[in-house]
Amino acid sequence: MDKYNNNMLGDVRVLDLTCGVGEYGAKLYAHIGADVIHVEPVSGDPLRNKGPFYKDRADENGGLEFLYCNIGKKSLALDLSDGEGKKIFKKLCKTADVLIESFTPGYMDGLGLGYETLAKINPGLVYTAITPFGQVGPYRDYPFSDLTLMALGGLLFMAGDENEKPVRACGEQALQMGAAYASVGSMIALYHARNTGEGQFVDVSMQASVATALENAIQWYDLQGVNRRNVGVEAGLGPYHCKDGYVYVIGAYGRVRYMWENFLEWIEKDGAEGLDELKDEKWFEPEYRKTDEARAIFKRLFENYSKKHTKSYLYEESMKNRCVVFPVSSGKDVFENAQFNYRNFFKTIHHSAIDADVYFPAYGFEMTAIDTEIKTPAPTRGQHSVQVLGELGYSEVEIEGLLKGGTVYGGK
Amino acid sequence: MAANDLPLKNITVCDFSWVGAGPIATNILGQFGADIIKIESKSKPDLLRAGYPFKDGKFGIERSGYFANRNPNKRSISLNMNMPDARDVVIRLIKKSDIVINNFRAGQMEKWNLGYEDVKEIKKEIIYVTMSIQGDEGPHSHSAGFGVTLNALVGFTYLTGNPGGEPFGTGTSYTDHIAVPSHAIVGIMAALLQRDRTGEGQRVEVPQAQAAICLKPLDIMDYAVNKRIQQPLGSKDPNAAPHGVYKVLGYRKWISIAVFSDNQWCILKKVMGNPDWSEDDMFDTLQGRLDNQDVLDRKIEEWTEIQDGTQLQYRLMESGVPVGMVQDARAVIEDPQLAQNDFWAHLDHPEVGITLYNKVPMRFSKTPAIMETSAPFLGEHTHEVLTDFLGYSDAECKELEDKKILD
Repeated sequence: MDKYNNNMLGDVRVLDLTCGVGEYGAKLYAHIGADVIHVEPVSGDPLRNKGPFYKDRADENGGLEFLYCNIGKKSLALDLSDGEGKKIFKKLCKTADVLIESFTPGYMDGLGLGYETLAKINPGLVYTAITPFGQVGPYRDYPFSDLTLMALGGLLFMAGDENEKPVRACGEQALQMGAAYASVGSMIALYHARNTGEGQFVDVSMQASVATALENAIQWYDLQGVNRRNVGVEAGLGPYHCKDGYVYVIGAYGRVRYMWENFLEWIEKDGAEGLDELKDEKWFEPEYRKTDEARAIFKRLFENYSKKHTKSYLYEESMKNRCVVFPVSSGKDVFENAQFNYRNFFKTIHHSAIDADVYFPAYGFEMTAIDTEIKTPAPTRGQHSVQVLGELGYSEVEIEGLLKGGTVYGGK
Repeated sequence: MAANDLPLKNITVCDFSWVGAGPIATNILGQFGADIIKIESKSKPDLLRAGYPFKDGKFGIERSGYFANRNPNKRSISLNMNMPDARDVVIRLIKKSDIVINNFRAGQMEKWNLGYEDVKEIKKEIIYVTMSIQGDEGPHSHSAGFGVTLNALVGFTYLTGNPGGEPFGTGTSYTDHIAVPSHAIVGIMAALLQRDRTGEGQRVEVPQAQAAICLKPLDIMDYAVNKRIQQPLGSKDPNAAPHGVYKVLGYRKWISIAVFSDNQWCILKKVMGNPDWSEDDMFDTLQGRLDNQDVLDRKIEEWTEIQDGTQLQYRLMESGVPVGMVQDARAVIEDPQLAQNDFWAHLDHPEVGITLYNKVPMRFSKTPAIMETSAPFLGEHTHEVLTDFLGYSDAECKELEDKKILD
């Protein structure tokens, strides 16, 4: 089927004011072909200075997270504290459908650019704010970090067994969750605005976002009075050593007999020894498999086998035998994974500012009538300032003045 | 806000999804007014109906909290899809739907002749959403898997653990909860916007593994360009110290503290009462604190472990240090901030009574999310949907029932 090559939603304009927190939210609009303008400070989005960097060279155009979150966006470097800057911004808001910001509550109001003001200029505007705790409530002005939000949202507690201290999820997930929900919420509100002309304020709380990801922990407490943690350890379920790291095994599941039988049959056929011990009736009982004795026996017998093989081998063989053994993948393993490569999931985009081809995970969803792959690199600071001002009707002379006065940065 | 004013009030979803990410996505659509018609079967109910916890710990397919939290605001119809005639009911439903969604293993819908090519013939403008684990094509597209194995596959498990220890992960099927449903909804909303202009539908594919990786790209990019294999950090952070989880008084009680700037460090020192050890030069700079964080963490824990965590949390919050108790479910439910976010809803259910549900983590100023009806009984709305919505007569319904199609 023909794709429309991103023209169809090209008239949806998104202003992305996020600075370091929630930048992935507006990027999802770039995937569906919307016009996304990253309005960043004249001095640059602070995320530009966050590592890891391309080839480990600190460079405002080489931060991998900045590059990832901003591919497909334009950059307008604008001083919002300046009177002229505010005027430009208000004009821009008239042309916009969605605005996403992640400042502290009240920051935009303090600039005279809060929702109430902007809604008067553009009643159809969807204004989405990502904050640690939402716009109201006792914590709204308190400082935060990814770790403290994971803690207060309840997910950190679950990442541990019994009395062990919990470990933090990789990749600043509290911030990613806020970004993901900013996309979801603003798109639903955009759909409403397109149908009714009515814009609105969408208040995204990162703490609350984390609290949506507690699986069934809230219900465990509500229905059974239990504060659950990690799903638990039992023989045949969890991470086990292999030759080059770990595999995650689900050899047993509840009292499902065929899983356990099938699993033993496969590894025995493939050379695992001494498995008769695991064929006793008691092994079909989850309660037995949870005992220290069962866990030690299984670990010894299985790892005697699994340590001879790589995670990739065990994964491929388990699939052939309709069993469930997955690699515990490192970044390298994911990058080299056969399935992702078959699907061309990792692609490069050339960034001329650092003269480099940078690899990206290409898209989290694919559509038959919209090309969700982004082909334009992250912008340099202010790369599109002049273009955007021109479109807003500023003359060359005026633009020259704004650049000289420091209201706008237009690149080198 | 009445349901008929909500953004998705005119949207009907023919929902084949079950268990994890699919029902979470349709739950969100339902909270904004979409009519979610969940197709189940008495012979093969949604697996989560048999998932813990159960009201009062007593098993029953209408008693699972795990199922309930993902399925409020939905209508449930029971259809035995293995009966060929069940497809006729589905065809009528598709004709009245905007979206058809499933998260089965690749190929399942095709077995019922309900792949995209088939469904497109039934209704050209349909939005067809498929969310298999690894996408519908490729050497591993038919792999079985669970949430925890998907987390291992995409790298969450490897990178979430203590340095040198066993890989751990989040303790949950994390990717099901955020990454997959959010990417699905973005695709759905884009498809709806496009359909309203062109009159044409399309297929939206959300390979769960790809959506998951999109929320944690950096370890992969770092390897691709720098050949660095990132390693787990426990609860540490490369840009902050002290940064971790510290014991406080009580059973399984910890407090998290994250100090990014020198200013925050000075504030923390002051709250600690500027003890002598903290004045050591080696802690003056971030680099110094990072280099000496084992000492630093031990000293801080000596200070925290004899204190009441909640009181300490408020002192640090007020002072300006990022901090938060490591809250268990009970503390989250009782959290004074979440109580102000319009986050919780109590819904009555004929079998389990009043229980707690959470809403989306977003407050909409004009069209706030709704949470009105508790999770449905299996097949609760079969008759209602077939007669009122799909136009079957009572006699036809009876016939379908006699032929075991509604089992």
